[in-house]
Amino acid sequence: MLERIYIEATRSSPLVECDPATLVLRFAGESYPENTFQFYRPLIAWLDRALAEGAGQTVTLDVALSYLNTGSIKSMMDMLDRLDEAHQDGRPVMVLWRCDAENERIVELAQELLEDLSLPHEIRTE
Amino acid sequence: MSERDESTETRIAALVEKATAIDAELAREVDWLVGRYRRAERNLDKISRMSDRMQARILELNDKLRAASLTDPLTGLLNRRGALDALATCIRGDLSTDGACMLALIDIDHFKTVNDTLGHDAGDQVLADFAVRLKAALRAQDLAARWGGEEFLAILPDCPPDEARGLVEGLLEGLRNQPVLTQTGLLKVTASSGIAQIVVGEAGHEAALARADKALYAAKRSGRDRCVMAQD
Repeated sequence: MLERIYIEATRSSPLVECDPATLVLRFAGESYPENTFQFYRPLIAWLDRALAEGAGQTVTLDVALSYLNTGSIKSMMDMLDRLDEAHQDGRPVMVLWRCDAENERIVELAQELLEDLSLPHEIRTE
Repeated sequence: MSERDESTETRIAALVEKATAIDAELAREVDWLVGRYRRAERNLDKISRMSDRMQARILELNDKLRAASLTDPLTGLLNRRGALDALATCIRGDLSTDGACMLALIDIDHFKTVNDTLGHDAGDQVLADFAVRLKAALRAQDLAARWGGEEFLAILPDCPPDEARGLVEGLLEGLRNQPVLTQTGLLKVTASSGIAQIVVGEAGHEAALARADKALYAAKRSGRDRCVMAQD
């Protein structure tokens, strides 16, 4: 059974919401938590379960992060790889990356992370 | 064939079938692992490139920051820190080839009056204008700094004292003859200067600067709008 995850944002870690009803995994804020891989491990695990159990429902990754440390970038890559694999297996997925139009670095990062992937995605500048 | 041979054959066939199935499953698992491995390699490459770009950006920003910390924003000349840096370079012997630099302290006459009567914007325009004239009067190898509020310092490496005097007098004459254009109109401005020599290997810049300052004071006291050489 997929549970709901909700983590409040802190100065160094993002708001996280994993919704079992909509199968949306949402991040917002900045991401440089002290034990980055520890922070992301359960979230990646949730994503794996959502992809395995979700039947035909679209699994969505919604990212609105303005800063990521290297561990967070790596964790994003891991999540994107899993979504891409699922997409190639015929599962419906979606990636939405929200960027502040004035934050050039984030737009560049989003483009770089998504450029080799085949899954449906949108980089939305707001 | 005996009964034993037949059942052994059947068992062997069953085992071969199992082995083939395991082989196929193993191949699928290996494929999956290889796929993951390739993705991991690609991600590592990406992260390495990102890291390289960030390091390059850091170096570039460091350079910009360093330059900005030595520059006076109003005039674009070196600020006091930049000037002290340059004086130290001079003393070390890295600025001139003949072992000496000329220092010219130049102070705009009656500058406080300009600020008080016409406002600080006009004062700033006078300073900015003077900085342009100073740079134009100096040679390519010379350094120009805003030393204080209305005080400037020129450092001239490999420069005979007479040539330094000539340069500064030319600057003062230009200032005397061509009023400064400000938002409040044309403003007649003059400056005074004291010139001294600083020698490679000196204990510090203070003595040379004190001599230039004393000469500057003499210029002010004897009527301003002139240049005086320090008595070494």
